Amino acid sequence: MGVINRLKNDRLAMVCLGFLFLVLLAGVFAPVIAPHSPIEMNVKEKFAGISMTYPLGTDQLGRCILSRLLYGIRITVFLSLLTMAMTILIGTLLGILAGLLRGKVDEVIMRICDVFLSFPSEVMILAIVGMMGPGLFNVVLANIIAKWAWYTRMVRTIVLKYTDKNYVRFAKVSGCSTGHIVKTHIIPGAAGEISVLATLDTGSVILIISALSFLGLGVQAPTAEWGMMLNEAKNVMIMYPYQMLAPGIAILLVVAAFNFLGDSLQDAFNTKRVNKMR
Amino acid sequence: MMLEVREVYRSYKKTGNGFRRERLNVLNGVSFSIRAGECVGLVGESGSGKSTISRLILGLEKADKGSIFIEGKRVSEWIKENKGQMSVVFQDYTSSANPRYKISDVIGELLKAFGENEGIHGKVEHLLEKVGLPLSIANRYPHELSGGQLQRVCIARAISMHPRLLILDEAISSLDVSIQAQIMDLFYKIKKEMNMTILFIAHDLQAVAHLCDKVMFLHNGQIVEQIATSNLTDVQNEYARRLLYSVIPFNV
Repeated sequence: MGVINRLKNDRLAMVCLGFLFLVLLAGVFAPVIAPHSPIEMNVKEKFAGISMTYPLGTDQLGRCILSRLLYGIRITVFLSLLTMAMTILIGTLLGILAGLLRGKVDEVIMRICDVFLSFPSEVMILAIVGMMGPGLFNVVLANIIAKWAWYTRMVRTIVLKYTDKNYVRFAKVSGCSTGHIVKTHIIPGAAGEISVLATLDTGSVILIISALSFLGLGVQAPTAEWGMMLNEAKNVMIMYPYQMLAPGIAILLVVAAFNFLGDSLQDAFNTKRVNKMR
Repeated sequence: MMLEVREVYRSYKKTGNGFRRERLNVLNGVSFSIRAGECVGLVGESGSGKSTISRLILGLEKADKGSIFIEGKRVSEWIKENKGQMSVVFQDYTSSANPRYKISDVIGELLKAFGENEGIHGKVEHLLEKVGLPLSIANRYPHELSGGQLQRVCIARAISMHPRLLILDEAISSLDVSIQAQIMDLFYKIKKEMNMTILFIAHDLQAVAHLCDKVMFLHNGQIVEQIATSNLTDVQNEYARRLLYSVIPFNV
């Protein structure tokens, strides 16, 4: 049974996948679904409650919370996915290079990794954004700089593990190209472990991007972003606590969905464990 | 000459010696040659350097000193020019087949990799028949097979490109005795039908005597005796004699 079939039999994984798919779809079609513009202010209607016009009410500037939530997907979730894609790409390329070429190339890449891994990621991200200034691009760049080394190290370890397998040795001895070995044996083997870590990390990147925006270091007003929405809601937390609910619950659900999906992927890729369970 | 090993030395760093740079000499000037079509056995006790020789011939490691030639060319160069023409069956069959692929894909890997895209299905079925496996096994995964079946799959894959040089690196050592006999029969059949050069590395002299034309005895990293299987009882070297006498009660 393949990974996809095993995943199909996992109800929690399917629920999470379905939920995340709907969230992504909502983000893509935000201009069509959202009842209002995310930056359209209506001061007369500020702090309005739930109504047909404003399904989740309005914020302190009278902006539609639902519309801001939907547009916020584009920044919070899409940006996290972009960050992860770039991180995985860089990490995988360098990891494969280090693992396959070994020698001096491996030494240089690994020592640079060691330097990057010796800083706590959150502190490094704060330092980079602090130095480069707030902004979307800087947030993405800071996340990539803080995380690539983890993937490089993991992929290198995976490459070393697989190059030691007899089926890789057999392919080498038979004269198969390095490209064939990487494509046929190493990438499919590594994909499981990378996707598990990537799914779990996407949750943490969403939290970091939201946290940076919450601290005023990420997305700047009036852009709709979930962390930014929390930041704005905190000023009126005592009087209108429900203002924090929509973005807070959205972050909680999306991060939880990514984490649950990561766990399910781990089980789906672990063929031995699945066979024992049967 | 199909394979020529000339004065090969190989040593490894000893672990756990702190800052001392001690090395363990595994091969101490090994030399031998194998003619095309010949089936040669290499026997020796554990730690004598059999697997090291195998890895050097396969191009998986480099010798500290000495050289290895296949048809007069260096191993890496020969492999590049003769894709799929050297093959190997390893002792550890559990890591010899990628667990993510079905048996048909495992056996057909080289056929696909080297562009024999037409009729792969039929070729895989033919190989399965050749190694005595049912065709239904093609759609199974490696973990669903027994040790003997998986080793047969590895053999089918190893002969899929009809290689000119086949290395059997302790290929029967991990199997139980009844399966060993079946696999030995299969090797014998392959040897007769396919006319390839075979280097059979084993510590079981009986098995080597059953399959090979010539036997080489490896002791302390050196070939101490080379002799035709038909004259096996004439061995001169002390180590070779001891090894031989240890199996004589079993009618070698």
